[in-house]
Amino acid sequence: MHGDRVLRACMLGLVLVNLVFVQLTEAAPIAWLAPLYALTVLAPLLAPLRRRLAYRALWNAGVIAVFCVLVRHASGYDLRYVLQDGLVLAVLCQVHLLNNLRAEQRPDLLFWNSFLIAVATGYLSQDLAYALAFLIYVPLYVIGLQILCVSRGQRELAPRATARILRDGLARSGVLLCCTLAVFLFWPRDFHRPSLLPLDFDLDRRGDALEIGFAKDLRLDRKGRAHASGRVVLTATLERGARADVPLLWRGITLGSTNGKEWWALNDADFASGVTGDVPWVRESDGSFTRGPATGSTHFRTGGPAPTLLSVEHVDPEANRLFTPLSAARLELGESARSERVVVHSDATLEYGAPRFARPAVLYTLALGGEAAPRPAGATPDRLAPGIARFTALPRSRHLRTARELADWLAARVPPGAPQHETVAAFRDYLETRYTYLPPGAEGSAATLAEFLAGEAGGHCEFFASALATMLRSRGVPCRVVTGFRSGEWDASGRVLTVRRRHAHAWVEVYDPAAGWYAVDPNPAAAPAGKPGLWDEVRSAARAAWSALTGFDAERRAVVLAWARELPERAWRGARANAGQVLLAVVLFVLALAARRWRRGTAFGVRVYSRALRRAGLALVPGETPRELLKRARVEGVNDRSLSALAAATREHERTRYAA
Amino acid sequence: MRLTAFGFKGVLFYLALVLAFFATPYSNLFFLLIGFLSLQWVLSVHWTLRNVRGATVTIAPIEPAPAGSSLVCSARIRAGDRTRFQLAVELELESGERAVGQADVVDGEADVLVRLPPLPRGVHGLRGARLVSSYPLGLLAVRRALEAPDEIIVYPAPAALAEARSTGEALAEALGERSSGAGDLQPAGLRDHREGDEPRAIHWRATARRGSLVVKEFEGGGGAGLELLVDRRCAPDVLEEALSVVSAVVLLAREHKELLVLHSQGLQATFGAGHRPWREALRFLAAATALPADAPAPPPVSPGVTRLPHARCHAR
Repeated sequence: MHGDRVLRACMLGLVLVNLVFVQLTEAAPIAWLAPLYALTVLAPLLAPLRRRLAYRALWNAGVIAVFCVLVRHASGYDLRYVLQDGLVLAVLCQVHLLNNLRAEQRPDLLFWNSFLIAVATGYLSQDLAYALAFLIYVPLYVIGLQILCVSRGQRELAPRATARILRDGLARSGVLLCCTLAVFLFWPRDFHRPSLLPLDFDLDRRGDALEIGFAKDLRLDRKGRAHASGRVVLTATLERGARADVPLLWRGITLGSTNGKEWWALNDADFASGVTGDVPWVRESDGSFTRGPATGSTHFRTGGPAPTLLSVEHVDPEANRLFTPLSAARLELGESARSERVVVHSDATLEYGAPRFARPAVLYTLALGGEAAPRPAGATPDRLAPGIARFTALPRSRHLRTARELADWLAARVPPGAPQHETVAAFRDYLETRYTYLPPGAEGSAATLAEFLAGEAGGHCEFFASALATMLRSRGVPCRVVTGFRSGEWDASGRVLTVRRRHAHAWVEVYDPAAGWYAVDPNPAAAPAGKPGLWDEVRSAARAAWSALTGFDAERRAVVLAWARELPERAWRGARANAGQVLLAVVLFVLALAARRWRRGTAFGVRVYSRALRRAGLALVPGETPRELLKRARVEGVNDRSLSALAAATREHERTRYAA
Repeated sequence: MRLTAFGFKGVLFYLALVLAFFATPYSNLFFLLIGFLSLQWVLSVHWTLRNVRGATVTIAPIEPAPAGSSLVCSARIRAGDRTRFQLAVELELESGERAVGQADVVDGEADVLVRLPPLPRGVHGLRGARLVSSYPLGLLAVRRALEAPDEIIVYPAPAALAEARSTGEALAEALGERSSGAGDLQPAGLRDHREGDEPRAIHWRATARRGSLVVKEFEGGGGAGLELLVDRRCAPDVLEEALSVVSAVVLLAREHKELLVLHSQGLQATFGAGHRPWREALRFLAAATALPADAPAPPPVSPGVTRLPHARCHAR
């Protein structure tokens, strides 16, 4: 096999994996990447065309045109598309190299550029798919370099040599990956090291497609395609407590005002003169934030068992909120995050710094103060405090007529004098069971709340939340819409909850005079999923392993170090406990090693010949061939049996040596 | 151990990435990739050294070759107890040119042919021989010095001669006249016939007298052969032409297992079986240079000895 073909196959694989890397970051839509995929796969078929001038001219014109489009695209949107266009340009460069590299040219740039793409995309995408792509990338990279080294792309390689190099490359890739993992686990480093360069430029990416993610407002008239991003926003590791205590809803901001089509946040100044019913965050002298027990609230327990503890790693620099569950009672920022400005809002949400292109992960510890679902029990009082009354305000809009009518119709079915939460539950159940959930941007989505409530079209979580909040307010129940995340991506082995951008969610918080604010989610998509299958468990385990890697920190490193230190002692204890089995394993291993060495050390023909020589009592003299020795044996009168054995061994030896 | 061109680019790339790593906030994945790249270098050093360590190479002497033709040097690589990859034997000529022969996979033993570029006539030295490998990643090249052949003998391209039955005929054809051949040597004595002696050297009278074959022995030689005198006091191009003829004669004599006596300034020797090896004759032809007219004359020889450059050569 020609070395050039093997090398080109490796390079094709590398470019394909590069494209996958870029696709995983979601920095470029598939429409941009599809032609590049096609040109990569078709590279071997296009190779003969390279000799034609017209083809080369067309190709180069195409590359220049795409380059101009990228430059125009990036310059037209300031820095918003610099990342997207940079990555597309990098893979375009790869595809161009793959398709145009001549036999006498070295593909050094292709190899280094492929690694650069792996690094750049790794900074953006921390998904499990990235790990899988990297595991494919490494052997392609190593084998490609080996083939390049041996054949220089021009030498003929024997199939056997090629197979040996491939096997060798796979083994070396494994060693390289294992060593990398060991270095990653044990190398001492500062996990909170800040950057040397400030990277504060804004990357407010607003493409044609609406990206699903955390939003600080709610607009029901948003239309067009929507893109669900898998980028991780935060991971919450359960340090203490039970799985059932891990909240699913992570608040970012509350939206208390509406005009019937939009919901937006109330200003903190609006509450200067009245209570909001929220238990506010208070900054303590040690820099932590606490929320004390409120009178009459069931949110925070004052006694009982130790509170649930969660270690949160907030990795999405573009979402500048410290997402917390409603029941969070204490928040302690990690050391590296303490220097950043934190704004405490009156709705018990926390704002952290400004959105950025890149910044270190924000680490914080949360202690949950009470039950995840408070037990509301009170009735709506006739007169609400001024601060709370704001959460019943509704504009006089014809858009809300359907909601009012529906609320009145449903309220008539609730027994008179029933506690407020029964009305809330009735409204929620009705929405949850009677209306169709459609993901954002789906065909047949409603354009207005009235359209949605009329049952003419389905809607996403914002429609459900908006509908419930409007209906409740029309009945005088104080409530607000909350945006944040809802994630059930729980990894049981690592006790980690992963929250991604696509988990962005909107729900409702209702104020109960007895329980305070509590969450109500009318969204049918929020219903719990069935029992996970084997594949789900495997995927969950792999994801947990990868999460452990990407979320590795000083504490986990300390755990790994302690485990490694104890390993010899534990191994010794284990060996002593199972001495017989260990001895048997050692003997088998030694025997296997000896057999392998014996088999590999001497060829079969040579072993047979040596045995025949010993039996005949002869030895080769320097310069004597086996055939000459056979002649000598006949002259010296070696017995017939030994002679025939020697003749057979000579034939076997010659067959082995010369393949006769 | 040296960086290859690819390795040099790799170092620059690595440094740029390390700089980027510190310029940006700490990221586990970036650290993992930097660790991968760092280990690639560390393991590359270890793997490349291990690939070469313990391998033994024997380079065979390089056979003399005519000017203008490519030379081949063979080397045997013994891998020892493990498989090795991409082991190259590199010969560096005095001119700085390098010739490389490579074994892709060596399991046990492998023979490698190093093809040297065509060289002009002369005795060429070798600056050195090395075992080179940059396997597996091509970032670093390990070079280990080997015992190089002393010299490369490139003798003059032999003159084109028609198929001649004997060396004498070939010489005569080359010079356009009859050569005196072996008969021109001065008889020095008699000896018993040995296998391979030419029949015309038999001394019939002595044979009849003794009853067994007796051959004449000639001065300067042990049996049949040609005797040539190369007078190097001539123009370089004339000498080249003469040496080309002598080269053809030497090759023929070697092929026919004849003897050849060569006289020249600084040389008076018989070549062939039982005498000085042919390699020395070829070495003389490779190293011979034209001498000025006032240089010492070649040693005196019988008038019948063929002289070169021949008058005809001079005339050209």
